[in-house]
Amino acid sequence: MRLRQRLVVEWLAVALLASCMVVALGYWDSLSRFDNLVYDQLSGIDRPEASPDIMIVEIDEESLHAFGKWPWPRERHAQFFEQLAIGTPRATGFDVLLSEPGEPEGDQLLAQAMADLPNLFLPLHFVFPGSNGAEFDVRQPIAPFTAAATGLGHVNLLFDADGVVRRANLCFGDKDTEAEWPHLMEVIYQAVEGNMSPAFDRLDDCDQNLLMPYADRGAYQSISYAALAKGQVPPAFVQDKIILIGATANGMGDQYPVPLGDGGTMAGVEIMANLYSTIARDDFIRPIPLIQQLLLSLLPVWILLLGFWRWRPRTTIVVSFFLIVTILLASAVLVQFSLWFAPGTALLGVLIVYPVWGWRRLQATSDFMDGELEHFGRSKVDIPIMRTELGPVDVITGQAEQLTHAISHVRDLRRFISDALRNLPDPMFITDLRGKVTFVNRLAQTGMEDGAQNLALDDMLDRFVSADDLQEVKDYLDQKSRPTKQDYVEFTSSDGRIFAMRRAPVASDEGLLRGYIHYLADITEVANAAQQREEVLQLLSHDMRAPQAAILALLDGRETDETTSRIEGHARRTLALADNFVGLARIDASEFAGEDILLAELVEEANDSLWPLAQKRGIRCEVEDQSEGAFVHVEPSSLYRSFVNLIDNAIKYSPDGGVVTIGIRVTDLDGQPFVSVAISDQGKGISEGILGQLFERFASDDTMAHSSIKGAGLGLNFVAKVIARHGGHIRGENQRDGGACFTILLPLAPDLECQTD
Amino acid sequence: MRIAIADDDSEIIEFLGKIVEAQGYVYVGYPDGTALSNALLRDTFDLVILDWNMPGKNGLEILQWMEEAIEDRPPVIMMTSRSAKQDISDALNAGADDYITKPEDKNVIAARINALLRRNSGASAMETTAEYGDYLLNRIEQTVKHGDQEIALTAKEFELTDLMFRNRDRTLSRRYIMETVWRTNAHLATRTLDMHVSRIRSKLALKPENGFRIFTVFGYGYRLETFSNGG
Repeated sequence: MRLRQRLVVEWLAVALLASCMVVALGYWDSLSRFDNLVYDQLSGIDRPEASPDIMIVEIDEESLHAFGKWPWPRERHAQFFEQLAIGTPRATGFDVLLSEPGEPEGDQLLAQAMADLPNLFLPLHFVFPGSNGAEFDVRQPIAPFTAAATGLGHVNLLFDADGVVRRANLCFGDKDTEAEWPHLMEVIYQAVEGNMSPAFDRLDDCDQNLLMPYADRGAYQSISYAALAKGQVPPAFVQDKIILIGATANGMGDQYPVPLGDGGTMAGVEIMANLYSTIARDDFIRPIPLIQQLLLSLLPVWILLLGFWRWRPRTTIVVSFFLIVTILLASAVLVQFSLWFAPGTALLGVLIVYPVWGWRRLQATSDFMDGELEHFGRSKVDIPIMRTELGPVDVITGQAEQLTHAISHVRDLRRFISDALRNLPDPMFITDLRGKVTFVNRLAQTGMEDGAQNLALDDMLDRFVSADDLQEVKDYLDQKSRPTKQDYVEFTSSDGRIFAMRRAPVASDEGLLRGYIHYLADITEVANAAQQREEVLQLLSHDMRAPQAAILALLDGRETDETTSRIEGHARRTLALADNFVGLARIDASEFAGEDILLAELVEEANDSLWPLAQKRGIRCEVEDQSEGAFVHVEPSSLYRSFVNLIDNAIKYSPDGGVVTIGIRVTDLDGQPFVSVAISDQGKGISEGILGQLFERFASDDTMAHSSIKGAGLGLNFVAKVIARHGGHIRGENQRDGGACFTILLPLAPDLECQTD
Repeated sequence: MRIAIADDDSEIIEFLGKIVEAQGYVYVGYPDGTALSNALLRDTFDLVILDWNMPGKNGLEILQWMEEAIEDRPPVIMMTSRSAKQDISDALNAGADDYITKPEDKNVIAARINALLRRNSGASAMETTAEYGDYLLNRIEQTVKHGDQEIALTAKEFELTDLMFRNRDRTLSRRYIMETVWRTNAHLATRTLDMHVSRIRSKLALKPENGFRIFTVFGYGYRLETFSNGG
């Protein structure tokens, strides 16, 4: 897998994992302890003022000292209420549980005092677990007190997982009986204000928890129970106040941990005072809805996830830091707006997603490097890649060192190749696919001006190749596929040297074409030698033929007699000898330059050219063409001359008035299509003595040596060479009924064109 | 008709001169290329027979010089002992109107000379029928009769036959034939021409016995030769 794809997969996995984690943590509120800590700190930034309407009456150490050990007799409270009634408070909450009957006398006194005090409210408690398998028992004040009080309200506290009281429920509901008890403070609020509080009105259901902000410890006005009971407090102190009476003395156990950030506790009555203030101000802090909580927690994680594609690691770190600060700030700001966004999951997401991504990315990169290094080690470069022995280092460092080694090896290799190319004994250059010269070796550079590198190929050719051959070279280079006939081109350079240029494709490791290497071989000497040889051959051919032509021209005007016809015969033999000799020499020297021709036509024409000779002796040459227009790829002149030689032989060795048969047909040999030409005569056949070396140089039939018809010793040798050069076969044999038969097989040319009329 | 013959071998000039005179023409012989080129500047000839290997300017050089220097130059027959295929096509492509390899039969030489002079004197108006030896061409009906035998030909075969008979003893380039008969110069169908030539050779039985033979000039074209001495 490519690195890019692997990283995409890894990224998707990390994104999915992080999202699931954030959602799961948020949904199950798993980080509540952390969130609570944050909440305690944030809510401490701006604590509400204590409400001046509230007066706490503390049953404190001083009171215990004054009135003795708790619990006090009911008469004690009765006296207190009488004293309190003088001050005419607006409402009174008595946070003391009165669920067991005491002395009947005392109970009655207290009930009377309660009845005399307007707006007195008493607490009811829930005991968990309840008796007889019930979820809880409701513990009410005994009936006389209940009847005497204005109302009852629950005073249950809600403890978070860490045992701290952060929330309150304004209402306590029993699901089984559908009974609902509002909180004592709510009951007092309703009595004071005459309507239910807005927060109570907004409750989605009875048991909903609300976060309440706390004023500083001891911020509420308070007086000692003893002081009030003894009448030491002026009545104006309690007038129109909401009086909350509760235990604050250390030994009485009515102390609870509160989120003031100092780990300290607070008396239950003060918590109630805070609750009442909150109800009155209506500034409960509401947790934002779960869906929004989750989305807000996901947001920073996704910002990071998307940023991974664009940012450098350092940027990501900085962004992560900013996100953490932003999340905390957002929480703090929202608290000021009485909203609570738990930042724990969002923070954890941000903190975790970066290391996880870093780990996966490193893993993917490491795997990729491993693969690449292994591939590099296995690639078909001729020089093996050496793996260095490494000391004990971690995997990534090891890979980095391997990579360094591989790169330096490649560098060496490049250097080696470049040196090797630069110092090649022949000029060469490399072009890319756009025709730009990308490399020129030393010899190619001295062949032309310096700085040929990065030159366009055409410009380089213009400078290097002589104008006459330019087009030919360009045609060669324009060939898209591998050239078939000729895989090199010869040209004369502008300074007069002759080069053979050959090109080879340069492929990438995957086999894609990247460009071409062009080799130039300086063949000036060879080409000049060939040129000279050709000139000599031409001269020889001409100078040997010219006198014979002159002899024949001279004879033409004379009366034909025995002598002239013999002179003519010798002259013609010498001509044939010259033709064969030059033909042989050319075959050995020149390149094969074939063209497609109809073989039957060539044979017919060779036969036609010998017609006067045959006709003189009454010999018929019959061509039976069954080749159906078979084409062969041949050098026509030498092949024409070969058939002339063979038919000439057949005529020579035929008796006067005989028949020479030439059969042409398509056949096949070892599955390959061939055209065969069989030339048979009615002569005496080939003597056994030379049957074996028929096609060797200067072989001649001795039995005919005495006659006027003599074979030119080079004839058959020439034919054999020509046929071999064409990839054909020749066979000479005697027929059963006498007479020689020569069979020639030539490969059929591939049908390249449509036959159109 | 005046014919210039250039050859460094006086025997050949004499031999060719006899052939020319037998046709009723006049000739002037030149022993080398320089003499010929000087004469060509001052004198007018209807035909030039040119050797290749000569002292002074050689045949090919004179040919190239004539292309540039002589306005409305006469037709040229290259007649030489050089028999290589490359030489023949080089000379023809350089502008020679025909190429004869020495030695050649005097009747053949005469026929080739006449073919060129015939063309140069302006082609006679196209007759509806034409007779060449035993062959009778009807250009209206596009039929060929060989003796009494009627030969069926396709339109292209007839056109090719007609073209070759009208230009008998002249070497025609493949390109010329393709452009005249097929009106195309495409190399694509080069086998088409070979096949057609082969077909008319066999359909018309163009053999020495019947007074004609088709000769392929490899790498250049075709020539329909007349065989006046046999048959």
